[in-house]
Amino acid sequence: MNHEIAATVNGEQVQLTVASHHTLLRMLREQLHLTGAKNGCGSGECGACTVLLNDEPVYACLVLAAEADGAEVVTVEGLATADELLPLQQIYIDQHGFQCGFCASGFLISASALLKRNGRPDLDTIRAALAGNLCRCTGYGGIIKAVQSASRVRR
Amino acid sequence: MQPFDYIRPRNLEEASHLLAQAGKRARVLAGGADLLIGLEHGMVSADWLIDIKHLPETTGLSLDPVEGLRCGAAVTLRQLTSHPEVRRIFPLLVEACDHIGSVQIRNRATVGGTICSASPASSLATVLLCYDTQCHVFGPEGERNLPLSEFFLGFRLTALTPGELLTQIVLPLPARHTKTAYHQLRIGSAGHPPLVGVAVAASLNPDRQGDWRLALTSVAPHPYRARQAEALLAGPLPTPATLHEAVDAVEKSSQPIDDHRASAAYRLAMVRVLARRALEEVAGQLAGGSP
Repeated sequence: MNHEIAATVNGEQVQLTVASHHTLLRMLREQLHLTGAKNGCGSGECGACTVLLNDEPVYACLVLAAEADGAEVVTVEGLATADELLPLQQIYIDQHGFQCGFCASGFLISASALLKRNGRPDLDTIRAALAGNLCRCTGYGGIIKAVQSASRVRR
Repeated sequence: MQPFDYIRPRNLEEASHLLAQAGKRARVLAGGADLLIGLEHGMVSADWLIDIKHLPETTGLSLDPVEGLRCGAAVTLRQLTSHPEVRRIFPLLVEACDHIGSVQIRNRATVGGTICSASPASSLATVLLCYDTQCHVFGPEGERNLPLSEFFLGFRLTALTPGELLTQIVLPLPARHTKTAYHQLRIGSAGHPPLVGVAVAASLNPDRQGDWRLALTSVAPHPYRARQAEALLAGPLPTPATLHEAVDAVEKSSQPIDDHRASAAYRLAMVRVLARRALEEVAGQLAGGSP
């Protein structure tokens, strides 16, 4: 069964035909060519597919494309403007928040959502907010530090 | 994933009708945090997914001064635990949910989905048992209510009959100055289900006689109330001897199994430890009269 859906993705209105059994992740990657969100585990554990759905971080592999009808979706591609990266993103680069980069999109979404809600998170709060994102390369030290540094940037 | 059809019923009657017609070929879709994993990995199959998230009966969350907390089945764990009154009046819900999954999971997983998955290892179901939760069900015969303690019939088996769905739960207001504790053992970081979990809630009546609730998870086919232990604890503040008897009763009531996470023997040993800690913590709070 196919569904006609209308959603806002990274600030733009989109209208798509999606198959019932396709996930939001598949829709984003294959139909909208937003390949920032990755297919890591397909089980809602690794966080590589994390996107914002109506302002909340979710695993796109556990949301059906059809469920996104009427919703607002933000992917990592939608964090920066045309002209500049978020402080979080720049600091992430400067402070080695990633190595292979596979987990980075998911972490940036989760971290940006945290910083939007909580301007001064302590380390435990940062860790809890990022607990749903796994990294196999960095050992998390650089990631946590980068997020903490980003929280200290005056906006 | 094997293809299936996705349907948003316009009302409860339509949802119930679709479920009754399709039987095991249809599944209710709430948060999808459990169902979609099963579908992705071929452990579950369905021809229809019935999305209940848009029905008004399933999405409300409100506190009534007489009736208590009304929580729709499609309310997410995040919505539940960020409600200020829930945090204040039902602290066990927050303690349980804070360690379920991750932020991303809690933004999707629902109260109803968690209950109806009927996992033997559910922190949320366990603390809901301590709060005397009532389940509101809608089906082909109309509405019915039953206590959560009668909702789980066995391993991943609920009391829902064909065509029925859980619409909301109701938690009566706990007695004033109810003291609570939830102790769980998990391997590794958050996100994994509890190896053992013990939830306790108790209050003293004006004559300082205690009323106790004790619920357990991961040591039986489904979460349950340890009634024998509760009966032993009821009455005057428990002495160390009484607490010891209650822990014995908890151990006796449990029937853990060996699985890939832990052995039955380990769970049996740990349920004693957690039960003793939780009971001592609550008994101490009751005795101390802390607010």
